[in-house]
Amino acid sequence: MLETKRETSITNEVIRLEDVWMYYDSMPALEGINLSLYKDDFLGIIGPNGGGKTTLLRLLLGLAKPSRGRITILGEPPERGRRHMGYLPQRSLFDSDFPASVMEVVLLGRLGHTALFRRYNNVDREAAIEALKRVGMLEHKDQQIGKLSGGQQQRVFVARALASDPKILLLDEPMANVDTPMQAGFYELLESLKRKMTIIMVSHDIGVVSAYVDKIACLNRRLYYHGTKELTKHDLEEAYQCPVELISHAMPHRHLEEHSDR
Amino acid sequence: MIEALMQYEFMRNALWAGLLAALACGIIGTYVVVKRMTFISGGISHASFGGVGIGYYLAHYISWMTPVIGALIFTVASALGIGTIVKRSKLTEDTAIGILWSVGMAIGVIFIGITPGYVISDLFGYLFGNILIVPTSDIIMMAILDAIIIAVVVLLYKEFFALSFDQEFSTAIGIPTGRLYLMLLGLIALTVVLLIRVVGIILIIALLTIPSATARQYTHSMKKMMWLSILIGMASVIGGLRLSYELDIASGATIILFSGILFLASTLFTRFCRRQASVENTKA
Repeated sequence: MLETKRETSITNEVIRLEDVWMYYDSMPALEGINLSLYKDDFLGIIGPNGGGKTTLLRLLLGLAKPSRGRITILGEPPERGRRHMGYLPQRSLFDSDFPASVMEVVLLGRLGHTALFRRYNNVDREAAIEALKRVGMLEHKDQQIGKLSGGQQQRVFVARALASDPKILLLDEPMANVDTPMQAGFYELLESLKRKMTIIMVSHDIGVVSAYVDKIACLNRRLYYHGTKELTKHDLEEAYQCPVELISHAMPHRHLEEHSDR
Repeated sequence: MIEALMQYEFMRNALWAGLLAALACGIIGTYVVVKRMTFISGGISHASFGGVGIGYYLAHYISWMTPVIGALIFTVASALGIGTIVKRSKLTEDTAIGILWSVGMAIGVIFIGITPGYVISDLFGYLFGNILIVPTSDIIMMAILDAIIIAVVVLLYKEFFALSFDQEFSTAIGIPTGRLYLMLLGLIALTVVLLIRVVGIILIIALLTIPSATARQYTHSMKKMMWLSILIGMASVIGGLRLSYELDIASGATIILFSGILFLASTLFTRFCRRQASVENTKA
């Protein structure tokens, strides 16, 4: 019985990190991370600034290689597994004047799937339109991206992440650019994506994370994670066992520079 | 002017050179404006003077060498060099550009100075442009450079778009942004070489920015912005050439001044239209 359960869980394993270490100039940014995520998990990762959240995302996206350890995405190394991932960066820097329509921005999500030198085809366009429908922004598709509100722009960027039809969605501080009145609507959007794909959401906002995700991990160089499906008081206390910096995460503190992960 | 066009080859060549330059400017200038690369473009264009000087000097010893060919090699090399140095070292981009800018100019001044029997008006021709003495061989080279620029941009349009819009995201999804950026710098270098004859090194940055900045006021599509900048650039060349011919003043500077006036008029016009629109709205 136990054997078969383990088998299925292995075949459903989407992301696997084995003893992953990352050093920047001999300063450890990540220490011995082990993590297994399964199909349709919704994991929230909290932790202080400089705790290694961005580094972890960069490793998952294959933008950096771990100093030690192994990462597999759907059984492949990250550079290849990356095509199964949709990514919402923490902030998208562009001029509000930039000559780009919403549709053109969402199509960028298809770039990982189109060869160099090739134009977008109908499959790409349909995928982009489908993604815009999912985030409820289809009616804005011909508008200039810079003329939308912060919350609307964030929806468009979610659509861009969804346009590649990802099996895994990485969200880096998705609330950072969304003004408070728009946040409830944005969470509804996340709710609708739940259990359709594996989602990792990184945030420093504990309240926000614990309210919406299925599983929670705390990252402060080490990963505190118990694969919990429900957030009991006990689990939260476990997560909070990470060093004191986390508790005062909202305050600027002196560890910020020391642990800077860039 | 039309009579002069029919009569004199140099006028026909001047017009061709101007139109070919406007074509490259409209396309590459659009990237320069939306990706805010004005300063690095200024650096690349001034550095090209080093290549002009080396070419001017070597032309006495190597039969195929000309100042423009010298500029072509030197400018592309320095554009790629500066891109690589900024990426690999801890030098900040604006410092690196400042160094490239001035060292390139210095090399040019020295090489022109040591060239036996150099003519001061040649120096001025390259610094401020002299569209009226463009030989047919340069026109052919300009057409080839235009063809290269258009081919690369057509083939890599969506990648350059991604690079200009959001470099970080593009890198994250696996687009080789580093190499694309170098390629864009290379295309800027080619455009600079195209422009040396037309407006001169010092004024290049004007034609790389003004037509596209004017076009931006009318569209929020990058493709349309390119087409419109090409048209505005061509209008500036034709208008400027005509004015300089009628008034007998420096052609390169007149072209720039003409495009500057177009930009100013367009800015006032679009402002006026917007104000009218908001007045209409408040009435309704």
